[in-house]
Amino acid sequence: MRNYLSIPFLLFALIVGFSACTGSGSTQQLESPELQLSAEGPLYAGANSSTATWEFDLAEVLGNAEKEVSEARITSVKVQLTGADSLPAMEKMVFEVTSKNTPMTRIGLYEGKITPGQPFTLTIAEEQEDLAAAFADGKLTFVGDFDMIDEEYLGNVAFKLKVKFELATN
Amino acid sequence: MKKLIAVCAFLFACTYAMAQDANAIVGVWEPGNGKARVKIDNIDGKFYGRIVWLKEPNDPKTGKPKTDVNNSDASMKNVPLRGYRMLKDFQYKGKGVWEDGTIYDPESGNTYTSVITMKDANTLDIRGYVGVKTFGRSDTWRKLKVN
Repeated sequence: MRNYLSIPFLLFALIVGFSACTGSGSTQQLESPELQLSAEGPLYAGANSSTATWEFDLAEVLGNAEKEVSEARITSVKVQLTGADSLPAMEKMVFEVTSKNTPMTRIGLYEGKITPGQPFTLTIAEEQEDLAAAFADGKLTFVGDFDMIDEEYLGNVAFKLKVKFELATN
Repeated sequence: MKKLIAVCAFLFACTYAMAQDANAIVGVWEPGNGKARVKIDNIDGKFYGRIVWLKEPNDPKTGKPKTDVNNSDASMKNVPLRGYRMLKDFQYKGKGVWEDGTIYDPESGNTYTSVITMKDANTLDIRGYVGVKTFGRSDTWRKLKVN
């Protein structure tokens, strides 16, 4: 009995157990196509929302029809205000994501000034809802809330958006 | 053929009426304590409420705009409270009721399951609870007229 509890045996059992739990899954990085976050005017001073949706065929995205996403999280969000210098003064962005079966979850925060043509990267939340179910929905909705400093702007505002994900698949 | 057209027209009318009812919640609302104003929007068929005005926008201790200091995620404590999305993921269930959503209390950092019931065109009953609806707490919100 004592032989079975020796350290090499326990280590071996641990490795076998760990391998069994991890199965044949793998991790892969995925980047969204360039999306457009749009906010329809009129816009007023304070927080305004811009939204973008990404519809996709999961099999195409994963490059394998038999794979399933078991875990998903966002690792990077890059945004760039598009348009001319006549746009209103803006700063800060809170970035959230949702889908049909996933609650809206806060993913990122940017605290600086937003200048047309200058891309900025958001700080990513350490705690995130698992977005695996959102991938099963085949459609993700992104929401970027930005602060407008000017009193009023009658036009629309648009941002280029690229999101990177880390997916665990099996 | 006429029957099919009639059925399609009826279904379209029902869907349109349902969407109209669902959007009755869209607008700016003031909670019972009058400390904030919340704008409710429809995003992709679900309803969300953002704080658009605060009676006391700055932290009296620092003089700076209030942020979500009670958030359990340290990386998100700097998110400004003005603009904060405190109502999330409500879905219209018919008869003036929106369910399956959550309400966040920035003063405690707690999130509660929530049900919204429209009492009349200008009054909402918002109930937040943990687990069992019976043991929750309700608040009455009134609609603000925005010019």
